[in-house]
Amino acid sequence: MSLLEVEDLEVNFYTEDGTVTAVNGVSYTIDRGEKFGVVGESGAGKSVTALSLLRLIDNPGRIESGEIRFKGRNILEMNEDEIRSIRGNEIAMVFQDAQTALNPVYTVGEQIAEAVRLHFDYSKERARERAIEMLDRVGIPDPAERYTDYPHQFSGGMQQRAVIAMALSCDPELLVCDEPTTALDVTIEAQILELLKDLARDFDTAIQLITHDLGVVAELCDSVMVMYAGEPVEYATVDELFFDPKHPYTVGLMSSIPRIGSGEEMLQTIPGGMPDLIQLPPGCSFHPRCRYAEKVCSQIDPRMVDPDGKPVDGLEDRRGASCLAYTDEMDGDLGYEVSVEEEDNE
Amino acid sequence: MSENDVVLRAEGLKKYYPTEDGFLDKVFGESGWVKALDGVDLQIREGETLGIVGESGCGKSTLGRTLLQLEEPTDGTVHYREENLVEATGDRLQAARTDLQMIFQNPFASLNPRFTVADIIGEPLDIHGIASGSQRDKRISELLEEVGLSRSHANRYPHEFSGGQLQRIGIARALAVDPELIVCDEPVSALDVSVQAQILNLLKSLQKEYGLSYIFIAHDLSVVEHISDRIGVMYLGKLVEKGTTEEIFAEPHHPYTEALLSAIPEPNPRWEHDRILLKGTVPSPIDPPSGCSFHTRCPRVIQPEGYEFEQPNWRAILTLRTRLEAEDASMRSVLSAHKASDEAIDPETIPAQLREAYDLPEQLTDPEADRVLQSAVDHMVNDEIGLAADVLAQAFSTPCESETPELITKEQHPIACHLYSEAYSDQVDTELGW
Repeated sequence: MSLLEVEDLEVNFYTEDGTVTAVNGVSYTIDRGEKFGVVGESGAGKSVTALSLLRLIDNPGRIESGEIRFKGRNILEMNEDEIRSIRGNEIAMVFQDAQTALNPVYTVGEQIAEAVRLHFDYSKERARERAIEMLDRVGIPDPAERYTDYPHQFSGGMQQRAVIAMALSCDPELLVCDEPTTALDVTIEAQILELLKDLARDFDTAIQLITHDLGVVAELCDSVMVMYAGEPVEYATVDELFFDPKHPYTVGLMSSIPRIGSGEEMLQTIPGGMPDLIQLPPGCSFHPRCRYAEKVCSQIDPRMVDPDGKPVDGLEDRRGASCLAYTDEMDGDLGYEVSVEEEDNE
Repeated sequence: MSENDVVLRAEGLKKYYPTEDGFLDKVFGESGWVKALDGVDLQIREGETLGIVGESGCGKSTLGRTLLQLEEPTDGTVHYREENLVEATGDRLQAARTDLQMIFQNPFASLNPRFTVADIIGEPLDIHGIASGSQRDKRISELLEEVGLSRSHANRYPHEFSGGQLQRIGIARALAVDPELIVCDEPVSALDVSVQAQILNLLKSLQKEYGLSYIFIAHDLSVVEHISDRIGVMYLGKLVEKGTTEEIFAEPHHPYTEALLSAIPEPNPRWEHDRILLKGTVPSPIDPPSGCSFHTRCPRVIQPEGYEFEQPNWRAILTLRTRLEAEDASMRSVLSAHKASDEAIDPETIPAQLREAYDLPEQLTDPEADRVLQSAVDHMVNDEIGLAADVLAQAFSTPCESETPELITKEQHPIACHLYSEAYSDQVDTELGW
C-alpha cells in the first residue's frame, strides 16, 4: 500500500461567474520516501490538489468527490479532530512565499516551538530545544541565537528554511512543498533543494513537490504528474518525462525552456494561455493550443492511456498520457506521434 | 563596431544610500552608507543585449534605475550618445526618456489598476506629445497588435489579464515612445516557463525589427544566456566579470560566476555533477567585506603563504575566522550551548566538537597550520573569542581580504579576481580544475 493514494479527486469553486472545476479526476499515489513532482502552468490545479490533501479548501471551494487515502484511511471522511491530528503531524506543507507563511509578530523560534507543543505535548523548554534542533538541522547558523529573531530579520532563503524546519518539526511522513524555491535566487535554490534531498534520504520523508520549473523537477523528483486545466495529462518517471515525453503539452513545456549552449534564436512556445476553467474547450482541453491537434480532438475527450492504448488509472499503473494519439479509435490520424518523438531528443 | 554605435555608456557609476534611520544618527552624523553601486563601468551598443546577473541584493535593479536617472547617482557619469544624463536638466532628461525606457518585473504592480489599457499605453504618448485624437487611438491599436494582443483589449482593465498579457502591455507602453534602449528588470521571472518563452521571443523579434538595445536584468542564467550578446556578472555593487555570452559561459570564470553557473538546476535528470554550493547569502552592502567582497564565500579563496591546506579546510578556517570576528555575541551563546547541552559531556571532547561544528577535520595535514588552529580552538573553549580571531588573523592572511581586485583581462575578457593576477601567481595552484 502506498503512503498516499488520491483517487478521482474533483474540486469545484462556486463563483459568481460560474462553477470553476479546478481539479477534475486527479489520481496519483506516493510511496514512502518518494519524491513526487506535480508540474504545470499557473491555473493547472496543482496548488488546489495539494490543499485538498489537508482539506484546506475553503469557501467557495468544495471537494466534490473522490478519495484521499493516507495510510489507508480516507482523509475526506475524517472528523475535525482526526484531520487535525494529520495536519502538521503526518502531512506538513511548505508554501511558496515564506514571508507570508510566517507570523511577523512572533519570533521564528516561538512559531516552530508552538507547532511542536501543539502536536507533541512537550513542555515549553523541551519544545524550545526541539525548535533549535530543527533550525540547526535546516542549516541556520547560530540556531540558539536566531531562535529569538523575528521573521523580518531573516533573509528570504533563511525564512524558507525556517518554514521547512517548522514543517519537519513534527516528523511528518509526507511533506507537500508548493513552489518552495520559486521566489529564491539560484544559489539559495540550490541550497534548499540539497536540503530537501538530504531530508528525504535521512528521514525517509515522502515529498510532493509542486513546481513549474522543470529544472527543479529534474534535480529532485523520482516520478511526475503533469497537469493541465485541472486534469492529469501525463504520468511518468522523471527519466521518461525528459527523454520520452508522451503528451504534446509536456513536449511544449520541455521545448520552451531556454537551454544553455543550445544557441537557438527563438524558443519554441505553446501559443496562447490556460483556458477558462469555467468553460473548458470541448474534447481535449489542450487542443486549442496543441500544434498537432486535429478535428477529432475537439470532439472526443481523451482518456488516460499507456503508449499502447491500454487504460491507465494513475494508481496501479504510473505511465500514461491522455492524448488521442494513443487510442485505437484514432487510427486514421496517428500522424503526430512521430512528431512528438522527434522533439524529445533536444 | 565603432564608438558611434555606443548608445549608453556609464563610467564609475556609484549609488550610495544613507543608512541613517534614527533622529540621533542624523544629529551626530553617524550614518553609514549602503553601497548599492560601487563603481560600475559599462557600455551598450546599438541593437545589442547586455545581460546583468547576480543574486538578490547585488545591486542589479539599482543599476538599471540609476542608468535611467530614476535614482540620482552619487558619483560617475551616464552618457546617452554624447549627452551626460547626470548633468542634464529636467527638460532634457524628459526628452531623453523617449529614447530610454523600462519594463518592470511585476506587471501586476507596475500597471495602474484604475487605468484602462488604452490609458496606460496612451499616457507616454500624451506626456511626450507624440500623438493625440484619432492618431493616438490608431497608435495604441498598432502597439497592442505589435505585442501580440488585439485592439479590442484597449478598453479593458489590468485585472482582466493574465501575467503574460500584462507583461505584453508593459512592453507596449515602453514601445509607445519608440525608444532606442529598454532596461528590462527581471521581465520574465514572475511568469510560467511557456509564457516566459513567448515574452522572450517577443522581445527578440522587437529588437530585430526596431534595432532596440536591451539591458536585461535577471537572476536566471539560462534566460540571460538565451537573450544576451554580452553579460556582466554583479556582486555587491560591482561588476566582477564582463564578456560576451560565450566568454562568460566558457572558462576561465570568476569563482562567483562559476558558482552561479553550477547552481542552475539542469533540466536533465541524468546530469551528474558536483555542484558548488555557496554558503549563506550576499553580505550586507552597508559594511561590505574588505578586499575582494566575495572572499567571505569564495570556494577558491587564495591560501596564505607558508602553509599547505586542502582547499575546503582553508575555506572552513576562513569562514570560522569571519564568524569569530563578526559575531562575538552570538558565538558566545553557541559555545555555551555546546557546553550546557549535556551536563555529562567530557570537557576533553569540546575542541573536537568545535572543529566538527565548523566543518574542520580533527587534524590538518600541515602540522604547523594545525598548531595555529588548535591554539585558536583552545581560546574559543575559554570563551576568548577575540583572541581566537587574532591568532587566526595573524597566522593566516590572504590577499583576497586585503587587496581589492581590479578587472583584469584574461583570455580576452575582464575578470576581477586575484586568481588571475600576476602578483599572486606563485600562491595560486596553477591547476584550477575546470
